[in-house]
Amino acid sequence: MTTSNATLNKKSEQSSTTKFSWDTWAVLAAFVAALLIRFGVIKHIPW
Amino acid sequence: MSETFAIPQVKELEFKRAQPNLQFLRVIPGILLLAAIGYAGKLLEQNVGKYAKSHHWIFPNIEYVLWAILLGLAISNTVGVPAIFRAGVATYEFWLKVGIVLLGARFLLGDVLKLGGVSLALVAIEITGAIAFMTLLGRIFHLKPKLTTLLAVGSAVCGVSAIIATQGAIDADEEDSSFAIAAILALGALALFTFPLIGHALHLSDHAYGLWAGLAVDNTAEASAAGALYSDAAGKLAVLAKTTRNAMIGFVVLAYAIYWAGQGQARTVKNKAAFLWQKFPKFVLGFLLISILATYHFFSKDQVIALANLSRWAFLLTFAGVGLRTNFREMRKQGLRPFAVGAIGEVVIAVFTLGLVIGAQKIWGW
Repeated sequence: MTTSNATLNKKSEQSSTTKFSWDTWAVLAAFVAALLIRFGVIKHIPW
Repeated sequence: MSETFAIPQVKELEFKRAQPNLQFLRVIPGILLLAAIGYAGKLLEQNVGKYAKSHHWIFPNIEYVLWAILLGLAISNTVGVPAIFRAGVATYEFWLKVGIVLLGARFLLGDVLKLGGVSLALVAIEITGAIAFMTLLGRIFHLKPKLTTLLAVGSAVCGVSAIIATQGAIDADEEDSSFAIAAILALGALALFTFPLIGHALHLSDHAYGLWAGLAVDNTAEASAAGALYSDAAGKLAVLAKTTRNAMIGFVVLAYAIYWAGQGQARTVKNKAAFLWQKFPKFVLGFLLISILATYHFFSKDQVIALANLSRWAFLLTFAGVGLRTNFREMRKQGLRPFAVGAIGEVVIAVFTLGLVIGAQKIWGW
């Protein structure tokens, strides 16, 4: 609440052009996990 | 007690806008807390029922989803979440998206296209009806126009993410955004407990209930939890329907950005395609890609099971986070009018979407 809305928006715009969003990080993390399972590095995930 | 989330949604907003590498160490305690609560929920599911049965008590079978949410709620609303855990607790949406992408392995592409097509048609009707009704309600209750826009987008599309995306696009006040987010979160928390009860009372099939939860519950985490509380199959369907709704976020936010820019109260959108891509939830693409890979047998049967289990673990952290970030006292402070508008709107949208789903159920015979 202390940071102004405009500042946050500017920061968000600047960062979104140069860095991945958390959304994209989540997709990357999921794919890394999927590939580790696919190529047998992780063989079994219990539940 | 006062050290609970001051304004949880704004903390979350700040977290989302921070750079991941700087947050890495700060998030570890909170992630461990999410894992501990989620795992405790799983242990309680396994052991409480067994214990009650061995002592001949009548006790309902409570699933890990509800235990994890209840444990989180109990901590958040009694001792509060200590500062050291907050950054990590705010990662619950990250785990939600990881879980959704991995869940793609449990859907064959044909199912996604078939169910997604039905969902898309229902979502289009739901979004149009919800935006029109919420706008009307906002006018009746004399809410500020931009607050009305935020509530309409939050109810029609996808809760907190849609509100945050719209806030930036239409230059809305942060206070309006906090009001709208608080209303959506409070109503989402209520939906968690009311939707499964209504679904069971109406004897809805897993398919119909999952679709309804995905269409009517606003925030993705709560929609997934409301679906999973009913059954595993309903949880899958709720995620698919909600993901279809999420995919619409860019279009709705763009339409509002153009409208408010036309009113001279927001910046003009110069590159519409770039705007749509920026707002588009990338996890929807990840979900589709994993589904395509699973359809074309990139993963063996055992690997699909492992991916599905990993998805469950990610959801477990999410459900713990849903409980931990819900603080009823903080929500009450946000004021009654936006909550009243949200509540009336949500009830009408829930009834409307229930009618849509029951109609679709009769047509397709689920």
